[in-house]
Amino acid sequence: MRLSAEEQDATVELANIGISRAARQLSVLLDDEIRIGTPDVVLCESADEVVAALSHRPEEEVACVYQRLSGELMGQVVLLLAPRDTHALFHNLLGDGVMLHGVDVRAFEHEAMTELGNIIISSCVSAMADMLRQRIEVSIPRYSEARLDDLIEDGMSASRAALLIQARLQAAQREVDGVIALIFSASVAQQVLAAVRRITAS
Amino acid sequence: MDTRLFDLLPIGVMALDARRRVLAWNQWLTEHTSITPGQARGCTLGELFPNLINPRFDMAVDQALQGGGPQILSQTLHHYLVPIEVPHLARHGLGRMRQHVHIEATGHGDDAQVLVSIIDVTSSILKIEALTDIAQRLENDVNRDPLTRLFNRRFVWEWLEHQHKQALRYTYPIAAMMLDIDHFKAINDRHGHLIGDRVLQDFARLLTQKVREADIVARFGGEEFVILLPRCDGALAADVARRIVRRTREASLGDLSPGAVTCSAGVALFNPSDPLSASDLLREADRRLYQAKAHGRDRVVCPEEAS
Repeated sequence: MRLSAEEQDATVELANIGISRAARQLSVLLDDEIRIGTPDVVLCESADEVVAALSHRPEEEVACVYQRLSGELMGQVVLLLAPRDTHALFHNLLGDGVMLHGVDVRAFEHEAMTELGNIIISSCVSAMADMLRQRIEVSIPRYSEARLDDLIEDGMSASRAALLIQARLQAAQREVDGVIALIFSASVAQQVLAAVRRITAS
Repeated sequence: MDTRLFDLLPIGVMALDARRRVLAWNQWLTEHTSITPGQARGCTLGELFPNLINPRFDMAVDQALQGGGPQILSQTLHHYLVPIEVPHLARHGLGRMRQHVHIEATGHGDDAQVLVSIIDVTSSILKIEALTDIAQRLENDVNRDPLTRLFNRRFVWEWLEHQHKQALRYTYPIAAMMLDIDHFKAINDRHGHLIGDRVLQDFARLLTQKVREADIVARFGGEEFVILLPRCDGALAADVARRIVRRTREASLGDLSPGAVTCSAGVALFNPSDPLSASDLLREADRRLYQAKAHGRDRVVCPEEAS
């Protein structure tokens, strides 16, 4: 399954709406101008393709926030960040007060990351709910850290494909520059694409 | 569900309507804020707590109402939603209860409601902060020399290992300086260990006054000291070393008369275009320190002067 140019455009626009909402909220939260670049959208056929598209090493440790979707749209959304990006982000956000040389107080990082992930995921999900005119139930956000390949395989075990959205996140006043990746599991991806097709066809 | 059940919960629970006015306010909130359900009903949080300005809360409520699912406000980024004083904890720097906040919407349109749960996480924060204090103190102790409070040999190796990689990656130089107090054994023998210790402490203070904030000053052992200067070229490092040697000669260290204490120094340079290993860098500085000693002490040997 490949996206046509038109479907690709429509999906990017949908992702862009969600991500712009997230950027506005993050800007208020962090009291800084948060810029999230135009998202790159790829439909992946397998877990290996997701890992390859993320251009990380499969054995790399990543931090993620995930939320399960239920109701009319079933599946899972995962937000990924490389731990070095999360570390830089929170070092910047929380200051030196909670950081020790070589030892960081991870509990604070995890908590803040969960909130940031929650903002980005729910902004995208609410943009989808608007477009699909469907009710989407979302579970509470959970934080996890794992090897990239394990994480993707666990998340995709019952799936054949996934929708991968990547965008660059930068903060104007802080030295924060990282890539966020959102992975929608197959069932979500298929329903979103079906809706995109209906819209592009009409 | 019987809303009185909410009164039994050990957390704060309130329900808001789509216009953010309080519909329900549980017993926990009444106990902690002294605001009764009757007083709270029909008011917004901003009206109940006039100093409460939290645009993120408003956005999170919007997000929940717009189908974005549950929203959380972490204590790390917000500390609290509802201001609740905890006076007996003020001495720990926590004047207000730390709260983890969970926001979820139910229903649609004008019938929509928002359920806000407030969980008191103050005791977890106290534990984390106590552990952080202990960890910070241990880290300090493990990296510091107890007599001079300078960094110790262990820290020098740890710092060099990290900086060496950074300097190679970002191509900047690191200067290393090895210093030794001349005839220190004779000072100890003649004036006693107490004066000897004070000479070491005064010398340590003098070294820290002569370097930049980013530089590392360490007691390497006995009367031997190391200074590491990242992003510093050979000429600047030689200047710093000469100033230290001159100032040591002129100063009164351990209350001894000026000139009674002198030092020698050797300088080496890590240059990313012709890199030395971290251990070779210190070995080079040490070799030049011994040349300075061999040439009569109270002097510096720099890379361009070394043979």
